[in-house]
Amino acid sequence: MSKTIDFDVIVVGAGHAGVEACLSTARRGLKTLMITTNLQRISYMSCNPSIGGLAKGHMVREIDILGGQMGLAADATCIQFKRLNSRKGPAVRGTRVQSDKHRYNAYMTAVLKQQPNLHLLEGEAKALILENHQCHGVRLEDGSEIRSKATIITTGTFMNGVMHVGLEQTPGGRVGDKATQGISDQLAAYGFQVHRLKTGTPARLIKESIDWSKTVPQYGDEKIFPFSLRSGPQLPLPQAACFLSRTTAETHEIIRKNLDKSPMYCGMIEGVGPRYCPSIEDKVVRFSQRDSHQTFLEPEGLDTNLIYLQGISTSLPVDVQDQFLKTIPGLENVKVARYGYAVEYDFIEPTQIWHRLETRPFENLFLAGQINGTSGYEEAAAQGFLAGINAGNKILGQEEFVLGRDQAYMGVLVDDLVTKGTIEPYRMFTSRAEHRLVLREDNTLDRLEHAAQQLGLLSQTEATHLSNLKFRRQQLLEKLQTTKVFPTASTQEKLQKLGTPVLQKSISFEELLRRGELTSLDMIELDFDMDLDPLVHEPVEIEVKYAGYIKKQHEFIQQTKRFEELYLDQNLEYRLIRGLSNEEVEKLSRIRPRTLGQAQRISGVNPSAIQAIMVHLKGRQTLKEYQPHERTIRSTEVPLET
Amino acid sequence: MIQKILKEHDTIFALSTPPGYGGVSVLRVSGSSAAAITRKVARFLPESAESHRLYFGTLRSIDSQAEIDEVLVAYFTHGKSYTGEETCEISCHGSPQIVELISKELVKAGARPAGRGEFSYRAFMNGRLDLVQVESVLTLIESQSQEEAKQSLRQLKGHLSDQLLRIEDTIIWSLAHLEASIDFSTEDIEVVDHVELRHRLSLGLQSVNKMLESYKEGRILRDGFHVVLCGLPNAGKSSLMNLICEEERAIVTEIPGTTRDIVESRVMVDGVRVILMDTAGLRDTEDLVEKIGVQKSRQSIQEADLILYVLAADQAVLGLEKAMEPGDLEKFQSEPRCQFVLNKKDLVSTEIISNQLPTSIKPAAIVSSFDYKSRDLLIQVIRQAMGQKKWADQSVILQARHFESLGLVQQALEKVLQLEQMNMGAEILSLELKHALVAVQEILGKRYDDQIIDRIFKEFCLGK
Repeated sequence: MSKTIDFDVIVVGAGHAGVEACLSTARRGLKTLMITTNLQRISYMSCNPSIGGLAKGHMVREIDILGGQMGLAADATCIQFKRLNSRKGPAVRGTRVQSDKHRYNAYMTAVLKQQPNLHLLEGEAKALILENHQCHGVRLEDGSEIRSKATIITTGTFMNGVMHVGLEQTPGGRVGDKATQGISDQLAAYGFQVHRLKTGTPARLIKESIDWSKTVPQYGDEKIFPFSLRSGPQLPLPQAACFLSRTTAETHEIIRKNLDKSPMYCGMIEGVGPRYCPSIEDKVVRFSQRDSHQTFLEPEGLDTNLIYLQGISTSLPVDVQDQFLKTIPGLENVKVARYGYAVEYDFIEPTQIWHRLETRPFENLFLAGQINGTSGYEEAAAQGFLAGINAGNKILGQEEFVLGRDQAYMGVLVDDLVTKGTIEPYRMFTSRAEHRLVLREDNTLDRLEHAAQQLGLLSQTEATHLSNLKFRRQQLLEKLQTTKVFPTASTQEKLQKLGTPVLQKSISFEELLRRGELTSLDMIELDFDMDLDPLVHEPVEIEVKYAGYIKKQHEFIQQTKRFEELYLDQNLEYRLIRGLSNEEVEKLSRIRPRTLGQAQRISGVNPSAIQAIMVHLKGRQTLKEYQPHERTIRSTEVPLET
Repeated sequence: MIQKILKEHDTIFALSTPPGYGGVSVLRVSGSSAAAITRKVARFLPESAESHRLYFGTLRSIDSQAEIDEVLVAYFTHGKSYTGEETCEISCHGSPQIVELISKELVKAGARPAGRGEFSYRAFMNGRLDLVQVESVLTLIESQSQEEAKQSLRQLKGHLSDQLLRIEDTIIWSLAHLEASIDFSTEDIEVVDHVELRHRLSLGLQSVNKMLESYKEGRILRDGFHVVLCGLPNAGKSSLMNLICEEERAIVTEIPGTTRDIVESRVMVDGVRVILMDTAGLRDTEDLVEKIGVQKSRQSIQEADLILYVLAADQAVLGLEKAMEPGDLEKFQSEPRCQFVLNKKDLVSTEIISNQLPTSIKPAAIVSSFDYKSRDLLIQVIRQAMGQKKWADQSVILQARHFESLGLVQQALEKVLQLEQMNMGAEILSLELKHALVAVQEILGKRYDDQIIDRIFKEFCLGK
């Protein structure tokens, strides 16, 4: 079968996953084709016009350090910057920005168009070319075939998408865009488990119809730390406000009365919605004791008059939406540009893919984004980036690129998906990361600089800039550790002035900085030669102040490493292991954990099973080094009818 | 352990009732060939035996077909027995000879005698028992007193698990609130109510402390109640011990310093094993052997549950310095575990004792080793000391492993409460609490899944 290969990589979809995927292959010189049904909607924000948030902001910074685009795009189009939890501990601070939705779309479109090796095609991939457990490209609507070495599917909510408004249903993945059909049915026919998920979006309102005096303005932060270390300290766009209002008892009354017209409540939607992002119907029903819920009115951009109504996602009929919206203070005379709706779509149960995001049954087929059951632009971008990198690595004959759970939120994301699967749209939370204290936004560079150098997506200048920054941090830390401060009369006086106890004996500046009431900048008062760049002294200060806890966390990581470094033979016959339940055998055989650590995280696999595996392996000495070069992937689940 | 596991395809058997004569003895045969093997000696067991049914017939020798006993065979199919494996339980007449004959036949038929706890191990491996249960069973096997057996049974029924589950719930609740305050800080939810948090965690800590205290009682049930007899040489400690044990366990002479090593003896009091330790008399000595004995005595005194300080009545009435080592009065008077026993009452009249005994000594018993009623008095002293521990009513932790893990929970909870007082961030409190959660779940043989996140969604109304 020697057909000509048209492209190295085909990326189906142009959302947040697709964009990162095709950039991360084209930038490595791989000839890449992106296919989308609508070239006007590249990196379109289908839901809220914001990027980042807790744990999500972490991922944006991680993608950025590794050479992805999302951080730069968010910085370039930011109209409100916020560091969430700024009064809480450093590990749980997260950046969120409001973005100008249209500028974001325009920015990314321009980036793609300028990217060498990248070709854009408007059209619909109807089917995959699947032969001999391999994917060889896609088939378009007209039946023509485009062949590739790797194919990445990032179709978001579009696969068999159905939109619900009241009891009406329309096929589609987003208002104005039709659904795509074919690929998920084809995958289901090949034995993939395909399920339904649901998500929803609120109404978009017309700015001029809102009585803003009844809302409370919410401004962003003065102090700005752009996502990308490549963006420079300033943001290009003027900053805008969001506005707060609340639902009323009347709102809830209307919603309650009309629940019979909600597709969610009359069983028309089978897909599972996200618990962390319930519709207003859900909130009213599940938390009936509350008579008010907050909502933020967020501008979709600087030049648009559309307002996004955060917190009020709904799929109630249009007339009901009109009714209840008018009961929210400020919205008495509101005009709606687009009503809220729910979308149901297909996703592929993600335990069917490897950590490298390649499917188990079909080689060279990669899945990223909502198709894997996630929710959120950042989760999608992270997977898109990793799928692109791994597709590239495979073509270039390099080892797979897998980030550890102790290295990055991106690592946690992928490991959770392929290990546990998901039954609701998966969103990242800081609490999902067991090593949270070392996975901070401020130390993203320190965590991932080495990986970034390996990937080589950054330009020489960028890479040098980053390694300099990292070096300066190390230098500052060393200086704090080695420089002493002595209890001289003038020092004691200064310390008193700073409101901190005087010294009993000379100590290092590191010890001094550990005092809760002192900051890096206070050290200047004491004649310490402090690096004035907050990108340098902030993370160092955090490391110093939280040293005890960070050390504890590292010890914990070392403990878990024992299991994380016990690689399991991918052909291990779990059914032969004594003491495993049928359920455990089924799950372990299906998920095929890379390591004993991963096996431990599979739900339904009991500690006794881990002991049993350990005993089995120890007894038979089959623990062996994992071989990422092994390319033979045998599937027992998928029929061979290609 | 590994050796045992490598042999796990064997069919094993063991006597599962107490050895000795009794009404009925039960031999349990477990493994994939349990029925086939049993059928070789009990031919009446049909090929299509039904699970949980009894079959009656004559058990015969494989070779000679000689009749051994009339038995009942209970058949349990794979997945429905205690071990989770196919199992036959042979009930025969309760005689060691019959049991031995049947055992020999079973070996001939291809079964192997089970190792200690092997049934439970298999049950654990087959998911029929959880970790707490399997360990409880192992303790049950080793239990040497009735009280201990009761405790193990109670634990097996889940009393311990219930208490731990409540503690686990408290920790998960706290974590859900702390985590929600981090991950959903921009949402319209109540911030952590620190008063409530403190309250719940303090209650949890109290419960952990109680369980840890009960460990000591668990130890008593498992290892016995340790009673140390001490006092000056020739106070008559060994004679008292022989009196309590009703045997000539210790060598008794009139020569002071006869007992040089610790002599142990056992007696059952109210179902609890009491371990009596007769020690070398406490005195300064130049004799090397006796010196070591005295050192050992002091150590056993440290570890004892009850110290009986024996004074010779004829000496005590002459002044305390005659009946005690200098300094002992101060030391033992304030020791709650110590009771004074006035021995050799037969040498002094009751009158003299009541008039001349120094008032600083209030003996718990005035006894003589020649007086059998004195035994009851001493037993009563021991009973009272044991009675202060009300282990009978609560779940006692028996395993050292539980004790260790619970200790970790205790430490973590104390730390959290302390950090909370210092206004430390939720992420730091959470870190400590997660250690507590892991430790509790370790005892429960559970694992951390997304319980915290699930709890957050149950407790809070979230959503953009």
